[in-house]
Amino acid sequence: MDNNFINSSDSDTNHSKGSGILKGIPASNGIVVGKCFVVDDVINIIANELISDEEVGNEITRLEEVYRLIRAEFDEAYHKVQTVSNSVRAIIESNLFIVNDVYIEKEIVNIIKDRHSAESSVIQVFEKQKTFFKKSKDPILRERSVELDHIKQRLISKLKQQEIVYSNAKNKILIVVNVTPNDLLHFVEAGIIGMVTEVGGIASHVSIMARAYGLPAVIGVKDAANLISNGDNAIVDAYAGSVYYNPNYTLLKSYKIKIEKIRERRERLGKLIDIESMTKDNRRVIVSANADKYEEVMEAIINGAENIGLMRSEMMIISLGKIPDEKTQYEYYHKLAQAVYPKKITIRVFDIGSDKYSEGIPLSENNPALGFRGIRYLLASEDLYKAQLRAILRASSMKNIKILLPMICSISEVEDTKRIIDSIKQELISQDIPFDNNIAVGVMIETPAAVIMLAELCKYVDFFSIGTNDLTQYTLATDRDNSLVTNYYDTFHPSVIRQIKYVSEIANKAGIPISVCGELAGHSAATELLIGLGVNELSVAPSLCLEIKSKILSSNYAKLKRIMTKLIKLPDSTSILSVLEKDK
Amino acid sequence: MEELEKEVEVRNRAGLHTRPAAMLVKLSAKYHSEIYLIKDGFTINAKSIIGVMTLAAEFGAKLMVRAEGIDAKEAIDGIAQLFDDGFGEP
Repeated sequence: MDNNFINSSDSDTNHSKGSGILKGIPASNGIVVGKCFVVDDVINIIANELISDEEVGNEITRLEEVYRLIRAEFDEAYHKVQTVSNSVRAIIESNLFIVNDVYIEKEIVNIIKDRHSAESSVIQVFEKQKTFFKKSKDPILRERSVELDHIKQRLISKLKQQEIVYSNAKNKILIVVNVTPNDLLHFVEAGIIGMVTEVGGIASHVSIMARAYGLPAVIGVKDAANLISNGDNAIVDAYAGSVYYNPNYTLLKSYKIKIEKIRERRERLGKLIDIESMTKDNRRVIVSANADKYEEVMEAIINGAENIGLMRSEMMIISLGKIPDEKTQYEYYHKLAQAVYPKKITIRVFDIGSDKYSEGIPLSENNPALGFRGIRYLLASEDLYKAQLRAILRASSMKNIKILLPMICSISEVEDTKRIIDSIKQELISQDIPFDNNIAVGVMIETPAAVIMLAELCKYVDFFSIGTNDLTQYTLATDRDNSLVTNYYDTFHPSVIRQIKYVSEIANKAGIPISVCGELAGHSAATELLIGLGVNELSVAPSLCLEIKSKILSSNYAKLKRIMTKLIKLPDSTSILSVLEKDK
Repeated sequence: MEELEKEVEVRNRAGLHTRPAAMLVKLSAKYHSEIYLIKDGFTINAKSIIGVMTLAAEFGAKLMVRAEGIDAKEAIDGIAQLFDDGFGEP
C-alpha cells in the first residue's frame, strides 16, 4: 500500500482510496506526516433504555464497579503527571474531581432505580449537568461542558467494555471524534505523533494538553474520523489548520522540506521561550505580539510573546460584518484576557473608517485615510464608544487589560475619552460590577501631530504605541494603498526615524513606556535600530516573537545607542539601511 | 443537630473556577454536616464539584452557605474563612 502511495506521484490523485483536504482550527502548532490511527465515536445509546425491576440491582453493581475502575485509573493518571507541566496536572486533577463526585454517582443510581439502564442513566445525569454548564454566563464554564462529555464517554465505554488498544497508535496520527484527557495521556505515552479531533475548543483541555506535549493538533475538523480510514497517510499542518489525507507525492515532498526547516528553527529558538527578553547590558526590551483573534492570541503565547501588545478590536467588526453589542464584546475581551493572564493585553478601540467599514459612516469619502475614522468616528458616535469602553472595563477585573486610542492628534481627544471612561467607572461602581480602577490608557503615535504634541500628551497617558505604518503614510503624505506612490512609502525615511527617536527620548524622560507595533517592529533590519532609539517594547506577529527575542538577547544597548546617534543624522533611507545591514 | 447560615463573598478575581471549587469540595467533605451553597435561588450540595462549578460564582458574587449537622458551626466558619482568604488567590 505504501508503494502504491509513493508511486502515484505522476497523477495528482490517489485512486485507490479517498483523498482530500479537511479544514479545522489549529490547536497546537507543528506539522507532521504519517499514518493514521482512527478511533470511531463511542456507541450510540438510547438515553431512555428501560430495564426490569430485577435488573436494577445488577445495573447499580455494574455502575459502582465501573466507577471504582475509573477512579483508580484517573488516580493513577494523576500520579503519573506530577512531573509534567502545571497545566496538564490541573486538567487531570479536575477530571479526577469529577469522577470523585459521589453526588453525581448517587444521582445516577437514583435514575437506575427508576428502571433505566446504567448507560442511559449516566447519559441523563451528565446531559442534565451539561445544560447547566452550557447555560452559564461564564464562557469558561460553558467550555467546561466538554469535560463532562469526556467523563461520560469514559464511563460509557467502560460500561460497554469497549477498550482501545493504545499501543496500536504508536508513531501514528490520532484521528478521533473526541478524546478524553485521560485517553490522550495514554495515546501520548503510546507515542502518537499528531492529533485531529472533530470537536473541541482551542481552550479545551485536550488542546491545552496537546500544546503542553508539543503534539501538533488540529481540532474541529468535521467528519475527520469518518472520511479518514485506519492506515491512511496524512499530513497534519497545525499551523494552517489543514489535514491532507492520502496526499500526492509532490505535496508530501514539499511538506517534508517544511518539517525539516521547522525542526531547525525550533532547535535554535525553542530554548528562548522562558527567558526574559533583555539586551546583553541588561536593558529590558519586551517582546509582545499583535494578535486580534483568539487563535492568534494562543499562537502568540505558545511562541513566547510576553504580552499581547496590540489587539485591533475592529477586526471583530470585520469578521462579524456588524458592530458587536456590549455583551458580545465583553465576553470576547474577557475570554482573551483570561487566555493571556497573567500576561497583559492591549486592546485598541475600534479604528474604523470608510475603507474598513461603512455603516454609519458617509460612504465614499474622497480621502478615507484623512477622513472620518479612528477616534474621530468614536467620539462622534458616543453610544457605540461608550458600549465598547464599558465592555473593556468590565473585562478588566483581572487587571491585565490596557486601552489604546487610535488616530490621536489633539489632547482634547484624550480628555474626552477619559471623561467617558470616568463616567462609566462611576456607573460600574454603583452597579457593584468589578473592574480595574487603574486601567492604563495609552495612545497610538501615528500622526505627526501626536509626535509634536508628545510632551503634553505625556501628562494624560500611561503609555505610547507607535504605529509605524500610519506614521509613515501621514509623514510622507503617501497613501499606502496607492500603487502609483509605492516608491514613496518608505518606513526608513529619516523623517520617520527621527520622529521615533524624538518620541522615545521624551517618553523615556517622562518615564512613560513606549512600544512599536507597526510592521517596522518585525522588520529584520529594524530591531537593533528600535532598541538603540530607546523603545521599550516591540510588538510583532506571533511567529516572529522568538526571532526578535533572540536578536534582543544578542544586542548591546549602549553600543546601539551610540550607533543611532550617528545614524539619525544620515540624509536618506538608503544610507540608513546600509548602516543597519552592514552592522549585522 | 444544628442548622446555620452565613453569607460569603467571592474575593478572588478569577471566581469560583475549578481549583477553588475543588478546595471548597475538599474542605466540605471533612465535615459531617450537610453543606449547601445558595445563589440566585439555586441550591447545590457543597460536596459536589459539579454542583459548585454549576454555580459559576464570579468575583464579587455573594452566596449563602447553609450547614446542617453536628459540626455545622465549624463547617460554616471553615468555609467562610476559605472565601475570605480568596482561596489563596489574588
